[in-house]
Parts: sequence; structure tokens; C-alpha cells
Amino acid sequence: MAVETISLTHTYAVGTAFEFTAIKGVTFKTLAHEFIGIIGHTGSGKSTLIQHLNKLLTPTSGSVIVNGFDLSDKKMPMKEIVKRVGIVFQYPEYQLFEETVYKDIAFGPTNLGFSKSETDFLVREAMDFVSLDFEKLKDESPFDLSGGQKRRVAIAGVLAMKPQILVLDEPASGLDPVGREGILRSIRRMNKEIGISIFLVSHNMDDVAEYCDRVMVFSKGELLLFESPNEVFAHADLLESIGLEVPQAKKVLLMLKERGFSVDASFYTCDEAVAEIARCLRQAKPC
Amino acid sequence: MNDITVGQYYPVDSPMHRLDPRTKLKGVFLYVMGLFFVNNLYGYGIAFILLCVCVACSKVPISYVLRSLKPILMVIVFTSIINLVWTQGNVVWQMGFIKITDSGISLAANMAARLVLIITGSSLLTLTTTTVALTDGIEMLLRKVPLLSKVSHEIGMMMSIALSFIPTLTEELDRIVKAQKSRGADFESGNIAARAKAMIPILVPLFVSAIQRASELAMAMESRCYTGGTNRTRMKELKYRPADHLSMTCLVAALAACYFTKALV
Repeated sequence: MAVETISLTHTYAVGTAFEFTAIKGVTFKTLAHEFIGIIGHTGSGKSTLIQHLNKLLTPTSGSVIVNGFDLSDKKMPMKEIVKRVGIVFQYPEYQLFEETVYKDIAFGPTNLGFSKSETDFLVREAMDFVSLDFEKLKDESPFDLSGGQKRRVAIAGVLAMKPQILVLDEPASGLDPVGREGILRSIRRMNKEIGISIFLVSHNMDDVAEYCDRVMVFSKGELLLFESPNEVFAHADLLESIGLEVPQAKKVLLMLKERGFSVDASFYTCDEAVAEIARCLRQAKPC
Repeated sequence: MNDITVGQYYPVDSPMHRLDPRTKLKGVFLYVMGLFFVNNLYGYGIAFILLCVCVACSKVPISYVLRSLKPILMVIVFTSIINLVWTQGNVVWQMGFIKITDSGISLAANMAARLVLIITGSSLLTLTTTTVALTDGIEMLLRKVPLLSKVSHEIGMMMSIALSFIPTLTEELDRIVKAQKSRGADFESGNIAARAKAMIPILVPLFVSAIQRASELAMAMESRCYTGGTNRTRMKELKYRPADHLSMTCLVAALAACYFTKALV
């Protein structure tokens, strides 16, 4: 599903001493099935933006259009919106509340009015997608699980609602490297296999470089760049000036270039960088 | 959640903000006590002017001060009606079984005026005093109370921790509500039973995280060898300044004037 915003602006606590404009004049258009990365320093307006995508916040001015429907249209009930746009907040394990994993994941689909058998199917499917063993875990208490498993249960809880757009705010933060990769891989599978559009908010440039089709760069509430990772990471100086950096692999290439190696520093993923350095070394060696 | 004005600090710099928290605490205490001795229009007039001067000195917008009245507006209206209808006295107006008496009117007006002044006055205290200053002030004042002087530090500490948790928990609550709304939870429709049940997905995670936070804080305090009690010194000592003595004198004088208006009627 495509998402579009037109000069979206949001101001908190209008008319008080706490008045604060979190995002101003944000206009963009995404395509269906796209994997979008959202990066920006803390307080750059990322969280405010994503809360507009399922109408948790309403714009102070401007509009949000999801698949042709203007979200400010009053006729659109909240349930119809959350059915289409799922949001996984930061540290989603804090929203778990049920006695069993099964019940917790079934909370969303039940709210949306799916029947018992449909819900059962959706819970199985969602657990399978985030690599949780249905038979083994369905009757466990979610509070007895490990941190990584809790996170998966929480993501499955949103996934079970069958959203066509999935927004994830730092889904991998605070997890160990294995857990991190597992979660990001699952998200990529959702995107590639069932064609869910993904919005991934992240502070980790390597993840963004590896997984995203296009990247939004936010600074002080404004959308600075919205391009492919290749083009975004070409602006190394700009990123640095707003408190971000380029992926590790690209950093290595840039440093090598600075030292006089004839590498092409436009690559940004780890595999590409390795290949490029190997090529450079082979070339330098007189055979 | 933005309607909670009591306990919400309004960050500007003003003479009122700069007063010693003890002065403000004692002032509010005296003001509230004083209001119970007032029983005529002149007295309320002086009390009202006093409050207006304080609000003007505080630089807090009037709309903000008045917002604290919103939650208890119903209480004021309700008690006024009860007082108006149920008080015995000389009947001034009658319709069917409803009788309105002169003493009913005066009692209702008295109560309403008192409530409005008390609530506005005490919310002015929290609007102009940070929670840290407030608990410091309470702790210092409790030291002078005979039975509580030994545990005054512990009481102050407990209060400041409890108060500092309020914004954190409010934020947490907001996050949980948003997360559950995103999962299709509906808090706005259905009868009372359905709505109460709809609170479970919010309250369970909120309690879990509150307990977790409390135990983490206890651990952090213990690992830094926290001990309360007598030998603790503080970085910012509270000191009365001339402004404190001046405002206290003015307050006492105004309250005395309120009291002696009795002689006028």
C-alpha cells in the first residue's frame, strides 16, 4: 500500500509554554511493497511522524493519505485504519499483558472481529513468521520468556492483524546480535514474501543500508533527504552535520580512499565493501 | 492526560517562583486555614485580591491557573445546589417542594467561594514550585514537628520519588495506550463493564513496569550505598531571603484584615 503525506505539520501543546513543533511541512510519497528506512537524531520527529500513519496523532495541518484514503476523513473508523497500518513501538515487549502467549497475540485479531478459527490461523502464521515455536510457547506466560522472545511475541501480536503496512520503531534495539539479525530477517521476509510495505525507524546505519529500498533522513522535524541508500550515504558530510553517520563498511572504504588506495567508496554494504577491497588489492599486486 | 494541572510545574522565572518553598507551603496552609474564618463578602474580596496579586506575581497565564478548577467544577456545582435547596431559613423563593432560603444562598455562596479559592491557591503552589523544591520544603518543615522530625528525611525522600515517578508513568501510560490502540483496542465504546475490562490491557503492563522501575531504582540507590538520616548534607541549603519575610508579613496582614472584616458586618 502506498503512503503519501502533504505538508504534514504537527505541533504539541499549542498555546502553552510547552508548545513544540515536532514535524514541519513533511511531504513524501512511497510506493506499495517498499521497504523504507527512517533515520534521524533523537528528537528529529521520527516518532511523531509514524504516529500519524495510523491516526494516533492527527496533523496540526497537512494530510496523510494511505492507499488513497485521507486519514483525516471522519467516516473512516479507527479499526479500519489499524487493520491496514500496524505499528510496533520501541520496546514493544512492555505492551504484553495476557496470561499466555497465544492470548496476547490473539488480542489484535480478536479486536478486529476475526472469528476463532481465523484468529487461530493468524496466530500460528504470525508466530511462524517471527520464528516462535507455536506448540512449545503458546501456553507459556509472556512474562516468563527471554527479552528476545518477548519482543518476537509483541511483533507477532501486530503481525497477526494482517497489516498491509508495518511500521517498526527500533525493533532490534537492546537485543544481542543474533536476536537482532533474526528480527530484521523476519521483517525482510514479510516484505519480500507477503509484500507488506515496511517503515523501519533505526539508529543503526548498517541495518538501514542492508535492508531498505529507500531512506528518509529527518533533522529537526524536517525531511532532508528521501532517496536510495546509495544516494543518501553519498552525503556523508551532511549526515555527520546532523548527528548521524555512514555505515561501518562505507566508513572503512572512505578511510582507505583517504590514505591513497584507489577504492570506489560508493559501496555501503559489508559484502560489497569486501569485494571492492579485494578487487583493489588484486589490482595493486603486480602479477 | 493534559488536564492534570495539580502537580504540574509551569516553568517561568518570577518572584513567586523564586520564593523559598517553605514560605509558599506555610503561606498556602495559612491561606486555606484563614479562608475557613471568613464569612462575609469583604473578607472574600480581600482573599480574592490577595490571590490575584499572587497569580500576577507568578507570571503563570490565568487560563492555566483556572484549568485546575475544571476537574472539581462538578463538585462545586453539586454542593452549591445541595446547600441551596436543603438549608432551613427564611424562604425567599418557592416552587413546588423546592424552597430556597436566605441562609441557603449565603451558605452555597460561602462554600463555592471557599472551594474555588482553596483549589486555585493550592494549585498556584505546585505551578510555581518544582517537585524537588516542594519535597525539600516539606522535609525541612517536618523537622520541626515533634514526632516526625526523626523520619522527616525518609518522608521527604519517599515523596520526591513518588512525585518524580508521575511524569514517567504518565509517559508510560501514554505509550501503552497508543500501543494497544494500534492493536485495535477500543476504550471509548461499550457499557461500564466493557470499558472496565478494556482497561486490563493498559493496567497490567503499567503495573508491571512500575514495579520493575521501583525495584531498579532501589537497586541503583543501594549500589551507591544510599542511607538516609541525620548526617546527610545537601547541596542546596534552603535559606530565607528578605522577599520571603516580606511576603509572609503581607500575607499575615491580609489574612488578619480578612478576619477583622467580621466587625464590619
